[in-house]
Amino acid sequence: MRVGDGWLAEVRLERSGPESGSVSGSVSAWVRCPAELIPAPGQALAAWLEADTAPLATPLFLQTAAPEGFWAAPPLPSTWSVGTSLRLRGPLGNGFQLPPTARRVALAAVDASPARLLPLIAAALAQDAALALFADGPLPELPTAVEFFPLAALAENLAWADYLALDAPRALLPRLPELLGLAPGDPPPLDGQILIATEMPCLGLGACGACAVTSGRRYRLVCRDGPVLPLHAGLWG
Amino acid sequence: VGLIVAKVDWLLTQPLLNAAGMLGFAPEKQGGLPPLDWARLGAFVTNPISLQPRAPAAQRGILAYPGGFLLHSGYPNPGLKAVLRQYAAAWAAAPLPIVAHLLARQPHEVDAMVRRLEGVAGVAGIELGLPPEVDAAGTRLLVQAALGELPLIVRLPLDRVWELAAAVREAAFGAPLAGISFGPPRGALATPSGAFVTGRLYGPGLFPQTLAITGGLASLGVPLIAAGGVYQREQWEALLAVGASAVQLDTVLWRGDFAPSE
Repeated sequence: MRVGDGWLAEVRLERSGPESGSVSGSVSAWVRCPAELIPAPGQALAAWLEADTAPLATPLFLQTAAPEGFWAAPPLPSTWSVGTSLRLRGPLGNGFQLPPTARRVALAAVDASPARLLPLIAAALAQDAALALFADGPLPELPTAVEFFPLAALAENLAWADYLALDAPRALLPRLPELLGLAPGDPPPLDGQILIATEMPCLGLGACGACAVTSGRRYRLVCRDGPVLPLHAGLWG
Repeated sequence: VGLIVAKVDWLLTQPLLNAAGMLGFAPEKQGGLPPLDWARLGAFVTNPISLQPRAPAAQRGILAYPGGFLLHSGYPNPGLKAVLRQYAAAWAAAPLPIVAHLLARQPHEVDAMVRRLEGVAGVAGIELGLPPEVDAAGTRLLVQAALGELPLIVRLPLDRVWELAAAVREAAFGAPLAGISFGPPRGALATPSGAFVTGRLYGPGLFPQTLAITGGLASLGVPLIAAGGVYQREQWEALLAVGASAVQLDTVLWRGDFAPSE
């Protein structure tokens, strides 16, 4: 984990609906920064505006590689603009580790853009794995090798996969068994990992507890033990 | 009158500390990052420790607002016994004195924790964090339970310092008191669903309040360890100038590159 400087080389805004006028949650950005600060898939990179004393960082996640930096996945602040200087700290925590033996990879974004799962596509294709993406809402451009399904189809296709990468907000963890078609208390039927989306105010430095998730009979801190945790971590009791 | 101020070197020689809850339980390297020059801090204040383990609050999280944010976590921690098992060696080897921040709930719990910490290598003081609902009588009981061999700092919520400082002073009559520190004030905000969440407030917007309280209490005769909204060098210098003996830094430390000389 390091501290360094970066800046926004490009910012993309996509309105969430033609009538809404809202751009919240659909901003991505090309962050120019030193190579050692680029987060691995699922890892976070804390970013503060250089000229600001705002107490909270924005966690950046890798969407795709980019020259001299990376594309950071949405959601990002809609107030960010090209040329803005950033103070960066990271990469933080544990990211995705695609098993080398995985041959049928399922990616699922729950109540979120699939952007943070996209780096796994190249990794899976590199090991000749078949890929299926389960998500709702607008999709980015995907390689033709990726099959796309609505999120509701995940449960019925789970038996096909031998590895599942999930991106889900902490608040929806109790609903994941239903999403996966599991009976209450059943363990996940396959190997996998979950990127937990939640606020991480101290981003690993303070163990402040705001991002804690229960894991069996104890709790884990998403900022330190995650943001990516094993699917078998007992996250939904 | 009758108050004994504990003359602790780590407060006299270096007037900057971290606030409890900001840097974990021990001054370890964080994931390989050496962001802080520990020698620039007078002491390391641990995360809040309770006698028994505490689970995270059910409605934990943060809510941002202009000027700061509300944090509600429930102060999860593994309890004193587990903290000692995990961190006693790090405290003994720490490059700076350790101040154990204790979550005060009942006097007998405070007494048990303080006695257990006396003699633990590296522990140079106690900071007593009072419960948010405590009154003056409860403050006196908790402070008296915490008095012992180790220098004692009593942390009062910023919005209740005026109300409770006198009770702390009375309770410490005849015993050494290292100081009164300021903890985050409490507030409430509505969530997007309309529910109200209460929690601790942090952020630059608190600084004017911190400065006013520090200046107003400078004549109390108790060392003041000011905290709240300090993000820049000019701010802690101002607090020292109006009478603070030391300053605690809170969420500015989460930037990871904070250097007290800047």
